[in-house]
Amino acid sequence: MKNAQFNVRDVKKVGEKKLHIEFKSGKEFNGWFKLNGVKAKRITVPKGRKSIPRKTYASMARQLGLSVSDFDQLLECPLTKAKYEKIISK
Amino acid sequence: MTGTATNSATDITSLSDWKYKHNESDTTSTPVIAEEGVATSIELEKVIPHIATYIEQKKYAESKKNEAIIIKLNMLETKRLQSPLDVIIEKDSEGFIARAVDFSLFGCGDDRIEAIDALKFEIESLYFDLIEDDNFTEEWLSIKNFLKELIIDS
Repeated sequence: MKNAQFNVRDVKKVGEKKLHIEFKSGKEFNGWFKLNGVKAKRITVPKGRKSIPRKTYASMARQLGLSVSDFDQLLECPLTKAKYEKIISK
Repeated sequence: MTGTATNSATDITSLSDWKYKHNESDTTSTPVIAEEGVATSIELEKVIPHIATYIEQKKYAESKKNEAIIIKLNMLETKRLQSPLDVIIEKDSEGFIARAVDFSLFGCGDDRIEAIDALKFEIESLYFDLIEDDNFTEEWLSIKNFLKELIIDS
């Protein structure tokens, strides 16, 4: 788990750039990932927290339908949008 | 030799006498007189097991503080629920995380109450997202139906 390497801004940025998630700003940031135009996954990115606690990190991974190590890879870059779509389509 | 021995036996009959004569206080035989407000060793011996139990209980309470607990949520921020929703609350680093058992939604906070409040807000926020349209996967459509039945729209 590489939660210590990333902060909430990194998660939001990767969500926006890589997965084309549009975040809505409420108490937290929420956004939908669309698979073939259909809303498939919804992620919550907490506001005002620089570092991400372990369970929050794992919960965000779960929301995206990823294992923690796949989520690490998504944030680190090796996991592309195409690969992500393949994982959640299984 | 015998006379000397007898004399010394008469003069100093015990170690306490010897100490007395040499101006040494005898701590072995002097009774302990408890000062007011100061416990004697006997009293302390009686109290020690209670202190140990108290420390154990305190340690147990501390460990329980960080344990995951499940609560039933009956209300959201502005809406009421038809039936209670199970929520797990756990320590997460410095703060707390509250997670819904039935779907992957969470709320964070510095304490348990804050985490629950954040989750309540998240559930409502998800509900409002879901009632916008029907462009969702089957999984989300079933969560939508579940929430529509659960949340009392007033």
